[in-house]
Amino acid sequence: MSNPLSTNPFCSVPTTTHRPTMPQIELLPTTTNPSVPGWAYVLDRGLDPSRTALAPTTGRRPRTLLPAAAASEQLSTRQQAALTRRLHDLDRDGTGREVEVPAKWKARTGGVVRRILLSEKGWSHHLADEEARIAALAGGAPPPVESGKRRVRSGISSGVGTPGGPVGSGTGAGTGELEEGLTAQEVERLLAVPALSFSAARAGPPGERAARTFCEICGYWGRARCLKCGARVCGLECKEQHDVECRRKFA
Amino acid sequence: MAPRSAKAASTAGVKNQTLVIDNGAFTIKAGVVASSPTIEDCKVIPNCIAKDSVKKVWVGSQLDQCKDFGEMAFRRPVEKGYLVNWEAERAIWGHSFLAENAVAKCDPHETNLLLTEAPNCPQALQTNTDQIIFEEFEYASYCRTLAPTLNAYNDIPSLFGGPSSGDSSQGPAECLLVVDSGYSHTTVTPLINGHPVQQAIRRLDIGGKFLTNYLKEQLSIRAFYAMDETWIVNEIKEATSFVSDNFSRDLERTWKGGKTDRRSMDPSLLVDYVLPDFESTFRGVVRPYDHTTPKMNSRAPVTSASRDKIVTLGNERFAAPELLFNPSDVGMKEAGLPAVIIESVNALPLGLRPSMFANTIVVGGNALIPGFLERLRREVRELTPSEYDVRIASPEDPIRSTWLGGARLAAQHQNLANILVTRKEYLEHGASWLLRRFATHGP
Repeated sequence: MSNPLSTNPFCSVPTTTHRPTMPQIELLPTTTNPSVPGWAYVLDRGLDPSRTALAPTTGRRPRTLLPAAAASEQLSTRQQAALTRRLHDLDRDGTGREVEVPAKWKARTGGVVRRILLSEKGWSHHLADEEARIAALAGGAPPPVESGKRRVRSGISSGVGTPGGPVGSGTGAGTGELEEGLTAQEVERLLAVPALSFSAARAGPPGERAARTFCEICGYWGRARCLKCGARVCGLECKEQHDVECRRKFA
Repeated sequence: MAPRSAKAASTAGVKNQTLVIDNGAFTIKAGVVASSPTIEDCKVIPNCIAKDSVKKVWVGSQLDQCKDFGEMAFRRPVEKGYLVNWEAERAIWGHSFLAENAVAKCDPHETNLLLTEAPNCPQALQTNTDQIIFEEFEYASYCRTLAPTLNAYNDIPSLFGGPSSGDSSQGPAECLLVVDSGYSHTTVTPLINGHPVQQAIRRLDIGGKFLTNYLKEQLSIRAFYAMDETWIVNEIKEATSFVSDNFSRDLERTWKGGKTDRRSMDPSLLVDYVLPDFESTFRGVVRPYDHTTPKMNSRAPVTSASRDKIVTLGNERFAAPELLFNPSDVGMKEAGLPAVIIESVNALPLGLRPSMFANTIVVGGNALIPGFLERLRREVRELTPSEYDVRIASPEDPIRSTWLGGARLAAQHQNLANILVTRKEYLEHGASWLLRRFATHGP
């Protein structure tokens, strides 16, 4: 850790001024801000867009204001980043290119097929391209920029450009449907609606119920929190085991 | 266009045999269908290229002969449920459908292809698939369809205790809600007469892969370093996991207790798993819990008396499948599967909702987890108005159910001809025409 700025993922925040899609720029906490016991007055500005942009959002609808109780549970930037990384790891799969395709089945043909076969694009690239295409169709955003950096970013925050969102979300009241069955015409109209985009089809946010936490060591309820790193443990015994790791991490 | 292709196109048309491929991320379900298909015609082929610890490469069905899965690395052409890498997929398909000793060998020029895809697929990937099918493999005709839709052609009434028609030529089910819980994700698709209601399709980003990775993480903390042992951990998951009908009760029962108040865990919830050593044993074995044998996840050093590597599984058995019902347990900001089902149905007109709740089926590998259906039934029941009838069932073989539906459709030659696009048509109209056609003319 010679230069803390170069290793901090948030030091690049000021460069976002070049991105026209980011309406509000806010400085994120940079260096380590350990959560300390006690309290402090903070300015309540309601919804924090820079924070929601980092969170693994549902992408379909704008996040509503968090209730007061949940706001106190808001994660620190570092915890949020760690959570995003963990979710990404849990969804990871053996898509690495370290396993070579046997020579017998290597691409030999030419033309368009060869382009597809030898494509190095992964899922995140295709998703970014698709979102850029939809945004361009909607006329709001400039055509896709073919740069690796942008692709990676939009792979994380997939909340942009979801036209043609679900019509009947919510209770479905007021869409003028019949109580009994549908006419053939209505069914036809229903089936003719085009598919949603990948992000728009994602499940909605969980309900109001408080999130459950678990002991990181044994998997029982996480009844206590480590003051150093915020990890949850169930009791003294697991805390002792956790401390071994925790000291190693933050020594 | 090359003259060779043009010549092939002139003789192309709808053929008598159809290759039905349900191209999943974990396994390909495939088989050649002529008439009256049965589930035995379906071959389950691992959809991966794997490299074992001695750098030997295994393609698709070759893995059935493999014994040593220690530190096996996998490359999967289907990512997040979508066919992304055609270089690897072509090798697996070639090995499964074209090679000399292929498991479902057939000549593409004499075969129709019915291929499935996951819902909400990016258009670029769809076009890639279309082009590869017609320009690389040169199938005579082809139809690409959403995987869940094919389930409508199965014998749905018999799943709900109704009379089995036994007739494979019947049309699709009128109203059907298909919950497809596979390797990459879980999708909820409402179908009307076998057509998907696109704007009501919802996806929960948790599938079997996520559960395996979660278990891998848990075991690495508590028992042994499992991060490189995807295959072994997947075996453990399939052999031992279950969906708890009362999560907090079971969590209490499997708690070791605090430092000063030890508790005895409920032995009925614990199992021992004997890991394979890949020398004399190649498969793990589940054993009833025995507190006398030394365990890898106990703090005490393993004595040399027993050379078996044994892991005791307690809350690990049900904590992973619990994620399907509570994704927020790992901090994922998505609702659980029961709420996703409600969300999907609520996107439909009011008149259709009762028949969707009354005709819900669960397919995909996760449907095999014990307790899954019961828990889903209970929670959906709690979330729906009491006047609605909630019926959720799962076919006998939820993994091959989609394929079987596709095979039954393929056996109805007239219906099949309506949805297939011949290679000649493709060469005449081009790829973007095909894209539009499959988007509007599903089966």
